[in-house]
Amino acid sequence: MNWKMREIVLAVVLSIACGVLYLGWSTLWLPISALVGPVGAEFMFGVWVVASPLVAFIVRKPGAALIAEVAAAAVEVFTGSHFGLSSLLIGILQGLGAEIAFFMFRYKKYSVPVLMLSGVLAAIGSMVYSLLANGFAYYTTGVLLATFGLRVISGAILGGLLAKIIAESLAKTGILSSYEMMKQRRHHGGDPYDSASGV
Amino acid sequence: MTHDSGSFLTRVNPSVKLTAHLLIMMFLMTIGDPGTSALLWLLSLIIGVALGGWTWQYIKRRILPYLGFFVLVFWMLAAFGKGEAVLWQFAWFRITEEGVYHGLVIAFRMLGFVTYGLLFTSTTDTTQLVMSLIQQYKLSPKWGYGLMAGMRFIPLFESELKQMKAAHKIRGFHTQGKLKAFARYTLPLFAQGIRKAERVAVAMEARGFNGSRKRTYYHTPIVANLDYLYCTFLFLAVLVITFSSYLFGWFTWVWDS
Repeated sequence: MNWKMREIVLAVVLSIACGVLYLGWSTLWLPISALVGPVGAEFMFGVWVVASPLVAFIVRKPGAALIAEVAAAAVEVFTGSHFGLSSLLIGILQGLGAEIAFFMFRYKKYSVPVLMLSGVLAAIGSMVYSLLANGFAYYTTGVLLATFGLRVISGAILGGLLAKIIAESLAKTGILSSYEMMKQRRHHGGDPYDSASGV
Repeated sequence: MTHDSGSFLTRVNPSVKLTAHLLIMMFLMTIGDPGTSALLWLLSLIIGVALGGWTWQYIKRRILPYLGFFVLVFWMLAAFGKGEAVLWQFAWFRITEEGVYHGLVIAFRMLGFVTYGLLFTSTTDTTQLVMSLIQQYKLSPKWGYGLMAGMRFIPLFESELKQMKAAHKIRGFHTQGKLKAFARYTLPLFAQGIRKAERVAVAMEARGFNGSRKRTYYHTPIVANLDYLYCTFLFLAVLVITFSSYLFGWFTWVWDS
């Protein structure tokens, strides 16, 4: 659990890049949710949890998933947004959810199913916040289940799977060669750029 | 991101302020009636004006637009919430008494979140916040300074996104959809970020930064009387509001409503 300085800065900077993307994603989300309703727009949810699986996949250290989502949420605090403190609370719950997935596999497995599981658990974390803070418990059971289902699926795909795709594309450029993800690959031998993923 | 550097709230310790406001927000989550929620929201506005240096201009610009958000949240619960006593039915919207009641609770709670959050962000310097997290919450300097280095990237990333959009445009590249365009900008942004992160980390270590706690600080925020005063006032005000709303017969916990 000894973080090197380069890993810390990488984790923070990647999370902050995600945070900036989250802001852009929110502006995309608004018109779409106005068009199809907030339940329909839930399919877009997953992007908001991509930081955790992405950073955990590259850095492969305990705590990486939690730190990533909190740091991404902190972008809203640092930019002085209205939703600064609320997003910090959501970030903590989503990050905890995502972290559990990697903890369950003792921080040894970083396969696609584990990444997707971390997206799903992050979605569950955000559902906990929605129930506690946004009054989701007051919705009819149908609306609640639809929201939950869409969020979980989106978390797995736009969160977990997308993180894998982004990380593999970045790995191809060679800039990740000094980080744990590529080190482990070189150690195990074989094709370090995972051409099987075909991205 | 300080709004007014002279106000009382800018002098309150950032960690103390953060903790106090998060606690109030968690308390808001436990309240199940619109009256108490509305009063607690009003408290945040009063604090903003009295201690945070908010002017009418500022409120008009930064808070009034959120009344639209209030209406949206209210409408969502009023139209899609569960309830028996139907007030009005039209197409798939089914407005019930319970839905309206719950809609008001959540809408005032959201407004409260927005203003307590703004109360924090508008009066807190982000560097001071990180320094205070190092001192008060014993955040490791490694992470503290890493976080501060990362903070500097926010405007950079924002301008880089703009630049990439402009670069695509001037080369006559048109994307089919906004979603595709979004994906096209993501990878260069991450790749740039990783390269810069590496350089920053090397630069920090080259200058002798090893992240140990044994170091000197330019700023060392402390917890002073002012902080105890603010917390006492804030929690006392919340207590008085909650108790009076109980006397009015309004107060309900969220699990009883």
